[in-house]
Amino acid sequence: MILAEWLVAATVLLVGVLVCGLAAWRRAPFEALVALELAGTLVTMVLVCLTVGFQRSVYGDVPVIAAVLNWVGSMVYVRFLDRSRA
Amino acid sequence: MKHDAALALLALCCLCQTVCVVGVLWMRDGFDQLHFSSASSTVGLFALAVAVVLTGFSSVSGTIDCLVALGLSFVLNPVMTSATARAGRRMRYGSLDPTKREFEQQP
Repeated sequence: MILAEWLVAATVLLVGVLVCGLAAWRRAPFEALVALELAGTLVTMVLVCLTVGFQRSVYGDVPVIAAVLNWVGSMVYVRFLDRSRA
Repeated sequence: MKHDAALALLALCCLCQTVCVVGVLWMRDGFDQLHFSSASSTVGLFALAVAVVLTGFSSVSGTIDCLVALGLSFVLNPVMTSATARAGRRMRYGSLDPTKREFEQQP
């Protein structure tokens, strides 16, 4: 069973991810990092929408891993940004 | 009834996240953008979590996995935002201390 409305919501959120990616590509490092963090949160939500949309509970592990990796990756970028000020 | 409520919450989630994306695009200053970025893990996230509970899966484990993912985003995002803001301030002003102008503007 596929729930189409959840897949539509995932598509809408995915457009936001692409827009954030474009902003991260074109802006200065600090502003790019902010856009990247928003994109990470959106990706987690997209994966949740896809999990519910396809009604496959085994897909549920993917957004959990994405949420943790988004945080870890962003903190690494923050650390490098903090070091780059000198 | 539950299906309609889930649909409404899903639409609310998409609306909130779109506002956040537009805000990040619209604002020029990184600190203003950070307000919109951090707001992405508040109302929209909760709306999605309630919609997941209302829709559900054939097994409970899928619902729990999704709620854990959203809960992790809710808990970890403020930490990330705070660290980003501190790094940005150090990058721009050299330290976390208020500038002389900011100090004088205090009531």
